[in-house]
Amino acid sequence: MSEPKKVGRRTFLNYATAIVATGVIVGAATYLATPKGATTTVTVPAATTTVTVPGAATTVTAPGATTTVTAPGGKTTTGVPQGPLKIGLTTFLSGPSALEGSHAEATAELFVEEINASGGILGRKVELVKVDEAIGTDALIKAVRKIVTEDKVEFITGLVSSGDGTSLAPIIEKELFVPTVYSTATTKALIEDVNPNPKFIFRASNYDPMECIAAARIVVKYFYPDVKKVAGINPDYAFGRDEWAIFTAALKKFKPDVEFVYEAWPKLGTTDFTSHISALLASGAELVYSSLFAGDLMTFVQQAGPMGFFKKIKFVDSVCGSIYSDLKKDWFPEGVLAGMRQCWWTYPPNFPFREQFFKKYFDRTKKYPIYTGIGTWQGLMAFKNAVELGYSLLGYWPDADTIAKLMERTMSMMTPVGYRYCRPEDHQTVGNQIFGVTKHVPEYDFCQLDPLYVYPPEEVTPPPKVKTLDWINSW
Amino acid sequence: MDAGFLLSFLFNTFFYFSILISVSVGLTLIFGVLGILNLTHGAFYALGAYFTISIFSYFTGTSNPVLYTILLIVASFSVGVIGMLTERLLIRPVYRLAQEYQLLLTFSISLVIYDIIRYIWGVMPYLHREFFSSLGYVEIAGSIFPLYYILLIGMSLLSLLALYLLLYKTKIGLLIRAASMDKDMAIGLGINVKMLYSLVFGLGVMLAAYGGALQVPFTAITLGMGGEETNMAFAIIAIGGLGSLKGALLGAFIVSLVRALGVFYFPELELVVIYLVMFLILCVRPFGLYGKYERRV
Amino acid sequence: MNAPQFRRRRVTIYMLMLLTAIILTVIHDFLGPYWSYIVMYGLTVGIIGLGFNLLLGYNGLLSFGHAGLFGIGMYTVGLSIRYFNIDSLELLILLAIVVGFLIASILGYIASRLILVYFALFMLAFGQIIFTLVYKLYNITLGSDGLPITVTKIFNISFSSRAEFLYYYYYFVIIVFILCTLFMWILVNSHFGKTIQAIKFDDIRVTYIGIPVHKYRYIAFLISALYATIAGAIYAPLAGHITPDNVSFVFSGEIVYLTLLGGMNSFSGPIVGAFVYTLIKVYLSTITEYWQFVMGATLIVIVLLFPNGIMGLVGLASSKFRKR
Repeated sequence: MSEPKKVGRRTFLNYATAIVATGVIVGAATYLATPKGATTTVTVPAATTTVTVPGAATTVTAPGATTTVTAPGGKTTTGVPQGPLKIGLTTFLSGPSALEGSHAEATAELFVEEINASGGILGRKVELVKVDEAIGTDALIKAVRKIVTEDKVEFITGLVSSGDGTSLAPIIEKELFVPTVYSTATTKALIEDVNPNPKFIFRASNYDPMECIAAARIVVKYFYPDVKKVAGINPDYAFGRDEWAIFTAALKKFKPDVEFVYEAWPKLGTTDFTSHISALLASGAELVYSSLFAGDLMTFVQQAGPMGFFKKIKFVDSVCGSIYSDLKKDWFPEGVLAGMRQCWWTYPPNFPFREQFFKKYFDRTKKYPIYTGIGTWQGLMAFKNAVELGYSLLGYWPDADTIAKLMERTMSMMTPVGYRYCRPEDHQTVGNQIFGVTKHVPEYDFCQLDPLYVYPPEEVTPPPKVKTLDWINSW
Repeated sequence: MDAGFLLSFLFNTFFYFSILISVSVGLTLIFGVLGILNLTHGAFYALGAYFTISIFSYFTGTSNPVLYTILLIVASFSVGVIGMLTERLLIRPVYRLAQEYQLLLTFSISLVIYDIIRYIWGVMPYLHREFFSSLGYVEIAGSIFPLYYILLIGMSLLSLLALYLLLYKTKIGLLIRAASMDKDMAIGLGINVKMLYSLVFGLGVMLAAYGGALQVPFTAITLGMGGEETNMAFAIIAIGGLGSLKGALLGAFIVSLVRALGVFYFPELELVVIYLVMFLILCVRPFGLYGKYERRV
Repeated sequence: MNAPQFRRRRVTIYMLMLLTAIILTVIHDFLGPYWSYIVMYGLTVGIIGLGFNLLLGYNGLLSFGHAGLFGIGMYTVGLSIRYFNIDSLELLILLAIVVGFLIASILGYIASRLILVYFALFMLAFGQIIFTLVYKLYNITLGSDGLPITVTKIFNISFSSRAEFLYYYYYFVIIVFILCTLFMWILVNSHFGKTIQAIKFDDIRVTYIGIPVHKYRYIAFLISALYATIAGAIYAPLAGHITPDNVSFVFSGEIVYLTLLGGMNSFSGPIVGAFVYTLIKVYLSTITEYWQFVMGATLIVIVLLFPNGIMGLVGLASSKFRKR
């Protein structure tokens, strides 16, 4: 019940105060939007005309003098569209996973700066349109829809979360039709269940079966061959579920007598692992397999260390690579089997490409790049090469369909971490899978790996079109 | 089930209990005296944590535990003062309005605070390790207990004791209790109830911030922290009875016990169990286990 | 009862709704896929707002758990598609209504006996239970990854592509919206509606007159819950993909926000609020990441200065106009 209205002066003052207050608030909000280390989305209001016929593919019309109308199945026939080339970067820009996502952002920015310094792609300057994955899957889908249909983004890269990857896939393949490279999003569900015959979507990083199977092999052969009791702690979403399922299947195949004594499923972003740590310690496990990454991994290790966890239990984490230059000696223990995916700062040795690239990156960010960064870079290069190749063959800027087709070939390339091959059947890119056991070394403040285990992709990857679990069962 | 396991299970329960009581006692205190369900509690919890870690960062290099403890209390106190200001400026005007408005107002203030935190401290996680590692650990019955956890439990209990002494052994405590029992009578007797309200709100907020501050030495401080603890706090006071301190303690105990059991035996469903308990208790005894019967408004 | 003023208002409402329907239909082809999507989203949220406000504005009960009911609608649709292979829209929505009805009828039995703060807590707990269940039962609901939604048939008409489906779905959503609005309008202006408002003002007095307050509250709760469920069921095919995000406490908060923004003491308040909120959200998320701040700050301003929201302002303005 609100109090009775008071007329006259009071009401006027109310209005005035309210308007001023709202103005101040909105002004403050806009002011807050200016960068303070925060990210700004670069959006140029486009004067575009879109002609959509129900049932046809949505058209992408470039702003400027040339208006192109694409009928389904038709081709654009103008040279190079005018106006900037907008590239969408969807990655974690905030929150605990930002430790992983920031590499995608940094690599993309570096790439764009260099490309624009040399004139852009076929003369078109590149602009990044950033979307923060931390806003949640639902909001992300809405945002991606917006940047494609409204901002006319022509390529999307950077995506990190497996959950977002599987959710976004049908929308991109069936509704938006934009070439997309997931930098990470490594769940096998993407190419086995959700999107087995991709057209527009590519995945740049090694995916889950590779690290899980490599981990199982290393454990059985080198790390802990007599292990009997194994427990797991994995984040409760697509990625964590995937990892545990594959690792346990592979391990069981190698060692049928192994027993899985406990599984913890903390929510992504949990800040208090003490109960989980106690439960793991109480379960009698000898080895714990984890796919916790970035902020969660940090919190877990910092809470587990003082509780004596690493004295009693051998620890395996498949994605230490998410923060490898932050694994400082003073809190991260030795003797952990750490997974790096495709990216370790000294591998391949004596490789100038890697040395230059990593040095440039380190000078800028004070960290070494991780798989999200290399994946984003690879996607951007593939796109650029596809566009240039298409142009050189056809004489005009190719349409989205053609670019996607060409990317099937241009995606395979020599990267700063070695050669990576993209399988045309499912657009999955594979390369060396790196693991190592952490060691404290006087020269460096972050943990080094000794011994280092590098598996070539053929040894740890199921063949295309074969489901991982079926493949493991067939051994 | 061996001694070591039982010990660590009990320890876990007690540990989580200590984290929760600070927050929930503050919440129930505010409701008991002011009659408001304070939805800003979680925001102040987070603010307490961020404040603390910022203050700590000025002292990196030293590892004197006493110093850190004092800083912790200072940080919580500062946030308590901020709470008082908030009450005075924003919440006081709505006392005379219906309860919906009060709930909505506290809800919106919490949103504002969260984004202010985001603006000031940014989006990356923060860590502070010195305090924790400077204390070391003890080994009992094969299980290892970091000393900080024991300190935390001690500090929580001390704060409870301090609150009890304040409320039941000092004059101001008497005034507060009087105002909570019968506001109009208290005004009639010449007690400055408005001032008391601000004070109590600040005290409640300080307790919440204290809860957050205690987390700092062993948790990564990120955006969205405290969400779980706040929800637990609501569950606790719903179970124990809004406005009842005894209820908050009992509720906290139940919740921490259920959570510890949940993590051990039902790791898949840990959190659901707690909300189920809250839900069931609200079904059966909507006023909680110790709640006062209220006239329907 | 048939005083000229009242009749005029009734006629105005029907005309307004007809006008809205016509305008929305006419501009459809000019909107393009993105803005059509926004309109549909606004309409869906408007439906929840209407249902929510039945409890808040007309009954004085603040529920922080309506997202849970929304989630029940969404996930009934999602799970039915995934496990029962049901393909046609009307069947899915019907299922959602049935499930929502069952759950709400049990829930309402307890909820209708609770007063304000306890009601809020109760609904909060309920919302959180649904959210945690959906999140944690990974093997059934796919947790935070969410469920894909593909609906290809409305009333046995098949669609060849998603774009085509969305095109015609637009009209379907408008129809559902109009129906819901009409029903709510009739409801609040009926004997039932007046009684509910009386209960809000003084329930003890109403009990003394001999009216069973519980029953009325129960029915109001049921209807409000059903509206949220229907909105959720409608939302699922629209989004193409559902996640627990829309079942969270945050979303409950947004429902509260939009109702207050539009004005909780007016009928059309929630609808206006739904659209304004959708627009603000879309626009603001491109210029600032501090969306929460704006939401909180505007809500503070509304509570302190404009408890009647936008429609309250409109009312003030128009009454000033009429005075001349």
